[in-house]
Amino acid sequence: MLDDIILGQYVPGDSFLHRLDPRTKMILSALLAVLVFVVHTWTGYALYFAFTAALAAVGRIPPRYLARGMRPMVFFGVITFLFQLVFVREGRAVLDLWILTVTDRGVVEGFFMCFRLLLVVLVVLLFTLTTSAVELAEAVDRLLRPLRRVGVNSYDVGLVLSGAIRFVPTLLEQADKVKKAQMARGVVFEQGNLIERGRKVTAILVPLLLNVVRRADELGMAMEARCYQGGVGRTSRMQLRTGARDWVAAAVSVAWGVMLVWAGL
Amino acid sequence: MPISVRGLIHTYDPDTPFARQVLFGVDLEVGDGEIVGIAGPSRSGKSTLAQYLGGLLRPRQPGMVVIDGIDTGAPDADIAAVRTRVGMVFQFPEDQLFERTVELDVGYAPRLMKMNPADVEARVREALETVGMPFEEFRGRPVHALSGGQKRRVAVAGVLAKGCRTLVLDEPTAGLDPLGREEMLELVASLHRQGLTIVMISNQLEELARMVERLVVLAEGRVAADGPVRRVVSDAALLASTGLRPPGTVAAMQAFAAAGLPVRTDCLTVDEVCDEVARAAGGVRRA
Ligand SMILES: Nc1ncnc2c1ncn2[C@@H]1O[C@H](COP(=O)(O)OP(=O)(O)O)[C@@H](O)[C@H]1O
Ligand SMILES: [Mg+2]
Repeated sequence: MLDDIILGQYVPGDSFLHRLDPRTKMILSALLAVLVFVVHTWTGYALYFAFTAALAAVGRIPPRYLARGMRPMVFFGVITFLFQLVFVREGRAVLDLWILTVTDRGVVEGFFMCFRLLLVVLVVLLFTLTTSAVELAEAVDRLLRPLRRVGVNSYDVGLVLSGAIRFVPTLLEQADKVKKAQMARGVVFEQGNLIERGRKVTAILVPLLLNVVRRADELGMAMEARCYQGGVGRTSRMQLRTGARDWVAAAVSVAWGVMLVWAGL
Repeated sequence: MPISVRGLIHTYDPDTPFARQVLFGVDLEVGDGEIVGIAGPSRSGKSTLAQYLGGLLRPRQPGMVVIDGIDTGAPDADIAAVRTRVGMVFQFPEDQLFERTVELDVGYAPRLMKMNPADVEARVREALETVGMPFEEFRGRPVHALSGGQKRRVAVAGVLAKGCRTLVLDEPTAGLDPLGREEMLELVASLHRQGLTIVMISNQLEELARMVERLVVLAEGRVAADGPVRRVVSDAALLASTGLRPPGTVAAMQAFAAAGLPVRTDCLTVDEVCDEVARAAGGVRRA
C-alpha cells in the first residue's frame, strides 16, 4: 500500500519531457489541469486521457508504474463518485433506495468528477516524475520572481514547495522503518479487521511524527549553520533556457486544449 | 530454533524504474545455540537478509526461508509465531523506541501478547536485568533521557521481552563509543552463554573475530564464504576481493609472514600472536 505512493519520485531520463524547461512544464501542467474542469463529455475525457497517455509515452514513464501510482487514488475516486450519486438531484430517477434517489445525471456526473480527479493527479504525477527537485525549486523561484516586489520571497516558496514534494518519499521511508520496528515487537500488520488495522496504523503515526519533527529541527539547524537567508544575493548554477522544444510543446498543448474546447467536448 | 534459508532472492521496488536486486540466491543454515557472524561491506545486503531472518520480510520470489519449521513465504504461515520466537534488533534501534518510559517500552510486546500486568512486569524485570539495567533503577526513566548505549540496551530488552530464544542483531555496535561498544559485545556474549541463538551482523571483522565461532561473508548479495571464523578471517584473497579489512591480529601475522617469518596467520588474539611469533622466532634462533 505505502509502496504505491509515487508522488515525489523522480524518474531520471533525458526524454523530451525531461528536457523541457521546467517553467514551461509547470505552466502547461497547470493549463492542462484547468482544462480537465472544462471538458464535459465522454469523448472529451477519452481524448484528454489519450493525450496524457501520449505524454507518459513521450516521457518514457512505464505505464505499469504510473498505473500503480494511481492505485491509491482509486479509493478517492470511488468516494467522489458516490458523493455525486447522492447529491445530484437533477435528471431522471433511475434508482429509488429508501430516502435516496439516484438520477441518471448523478451517475454521469459521478463518473466525470471521478475522471477529473484521476486525470489531475495523472498530470501532476507526469510533471513531478520528470522534473528534478532542483529544477522544480528553480522554476517556482523564477515564475514567482515578479511577486518579490510585494514582499513574497520566491526563492523560499520554491524551496519549500520542492522540499515538500520530495519529502513524501522520505516520509514513506520513515513510516516503513517505524512499521518494521513495531513488527519486530510482534505487531502483525497483515492480520485483523479494518478497525484493528486502523488502530495499528495510528500506532505508527505517533513515532513517525516524533521522528519527522526531530528531523525538521535538525534540518533547520543545519540551514542556520550554513547561514540560510532565503536566496538573497545568490546566483543560481542552474540556467533555465527556453528553446524551440518549449515552443513546440506549448503550441501542441494549447492547440489541443483549444480544439477540445472549440469542439464543445 | 533452526533457521534455514535457501536460494533467497530479493528485489527492492520491483516493477518500477527503480527496481534493484540486492540478494542473488543466498543459502544459510543457523542451528540451535549457534553464534554466527555475518560480515560484508556496506550495501552488500546484510540488513535485507536480517529482515528475512526475523520474519519481517517474506519471500515472494523463488527462494525459501524456514524458521523453526515455519515456511515464512507461505501465505498461511503463522508469522506472528515466527516474530515472537526470533528477536530482530535493527541498526540504530534507539531511534525506534516509542513509549515514554523504559518500563512501558520494554513491556510493549508482552502487553501486545495480552499477558496480565503481573506477568508483564516480571517479563520486563527479567529482560532489563538481562541487559544489565536494574529494573527498580530504570523502570520509570524517560526513554529520551538515556544515553545512546543505554537506549540500545533497552531496545534489546524490548525484543527479549517477547521471550525469544533467537536474536538477530544488525550492526549492534555501529556508532557507539569504545566503552559502549565493549558493553554491547559483552552483552551479546552473555546472551549466547545463556543459550540464545545469535546472528550478529557487522562490517568489522575485528569484533566478529572475537565474538563468533562461525562467519558468513556476504558480498554483492551472495554468500562469498561460510565457515569457521579462524579460517575465513585469515583468507587474504577472499577479504581482498570483498574489500573487508582483516582483524589487526591477522594483518600483523600476514606482515610477519610476508617478511619471511614462518608463522600461521589465523591468530585472533594478542596472546595468540605473541605465542606464535615467539614459537617461530625461537625456531629461527635455534636453527
Ligand atoms: N527500503 C529500501 N528500498 C530500496 N532500496 C533499498 C532499501 N533498503 C536497502 N536498499 C538497497 O539495497 C542494497 C542493500 O542494502 P542493505 O541490505 O541495507 O545492505 P547492508 O546492510 O549490507 O549495508 C543497498 O544498495 C540499498 O541501497
Ligand atoms: Mg545495514
